[in-house]
Amino acid sequence: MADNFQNSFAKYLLTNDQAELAELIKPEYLANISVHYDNFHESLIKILQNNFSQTSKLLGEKYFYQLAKEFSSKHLNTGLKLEKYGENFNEFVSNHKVIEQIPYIEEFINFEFQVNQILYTKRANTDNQETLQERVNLVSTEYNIRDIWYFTFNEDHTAPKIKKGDYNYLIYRKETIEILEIDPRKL
Amino acid sequence: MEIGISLKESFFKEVLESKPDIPFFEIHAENYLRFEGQNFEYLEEIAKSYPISIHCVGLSLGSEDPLNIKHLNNIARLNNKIKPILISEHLSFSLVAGQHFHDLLPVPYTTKALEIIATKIKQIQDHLGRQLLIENPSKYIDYKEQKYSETEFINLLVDKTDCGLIVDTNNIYVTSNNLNLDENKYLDNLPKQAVKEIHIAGPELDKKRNILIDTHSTKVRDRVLELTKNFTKDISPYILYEWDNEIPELSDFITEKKRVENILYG
Repeated sequence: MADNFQNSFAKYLLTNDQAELAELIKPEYLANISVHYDNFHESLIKILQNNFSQTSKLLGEKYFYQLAKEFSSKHLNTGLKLEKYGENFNEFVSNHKVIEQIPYIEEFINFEFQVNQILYTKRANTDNQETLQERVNLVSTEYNIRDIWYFTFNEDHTAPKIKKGDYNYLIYRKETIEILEIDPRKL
Repeated sequence: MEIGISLKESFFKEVLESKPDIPFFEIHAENYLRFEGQNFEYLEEIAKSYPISIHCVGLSLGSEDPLNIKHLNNIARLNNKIKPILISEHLSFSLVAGQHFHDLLPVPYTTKALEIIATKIKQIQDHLGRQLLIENPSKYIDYKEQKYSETEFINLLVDKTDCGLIVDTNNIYVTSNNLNLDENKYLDNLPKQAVKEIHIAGPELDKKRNILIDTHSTKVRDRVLELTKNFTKDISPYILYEWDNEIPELSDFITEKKRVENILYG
């Protein structure tokens, strides 16, 4: 049995087909197998909730959960690098109706993903051009995402006016995350 | 005696600012293996003032896959940087043919599983140059074909590898409830001399399946404290209060920790 229980477990978690695994489990506990299926799939949703906490605030926790559940069921993650999970979540969400009500949501999700990647880096040394280049993300957007981003941290403030234009943001870490709006023509 | 608690992201700033009276914190190793970034810097700062226990979730001792050496090297690097008081892993598997399933899956207690897990524990202990503690799992299912009971299996692992143990009394409570086992008999059959740490936490009742789920999201149950108190009468392991979901404010967690300390030692 030890030769096949792990493959049977993996098959069940990936496909929800419990036939092979059920052969190995005491019948009185068979109904409990689904705890592990739920744990695996809930863990993926939790990773998305963690990686996109501000998006979750913007969309509302319940709606975000539904989107995360649908995304994780189609994009199973069995890797160890959890901070990269959801790299294409913005594209997935842009295929949902929410994009009609919140047209900037795709850009916002990508923005949050890029900010998080910077959170995992060392503090940027702004005096050292070479180090700085390795420690920044440059994100171009059509909407004023930085204003919306700050608003999700200070919901008591008045909602920012959504503006369309040509925005370029430089994201890096000092003590906290710094987001500079830059004009590439002046670089 | 005082109880340590899980170190969560939401606690970082407050811990550094207010330096609460906590005997030690426990972290999940896999959250810090990039060795840079904001959270790692917080951990390094906190480790200057508090003893840290490292709890691993990704070494997958029960896997037929070989140990992921890159991952083990990272654990060793974290061990060298943080210099923890304890380092531990679960009696379970999560890796199958290179795929990680982010859950602590149950191992059948067979001769082959014993050989696989004992070999991995020895390999890890040799690599880290220190003792690894193994934690008993929460279980919802049981396999048909097994040679050993869980406590027999744990005793054999300790004999073969000289590993230490985390006894998670909540896991024993959850497993006993779900698989109709006798909690006291389970505890009586453990090799007490190997126990270096106790975990306590709160489970949730799954009404649909009528079982307990090890969620670490509620206050510890009275029965778990009773088991813990009886079990630790003649030993002095570290005791950790785990909380990983529905995480309270740090001040509320400390108040709850003090309540539990009063019950256990008051």
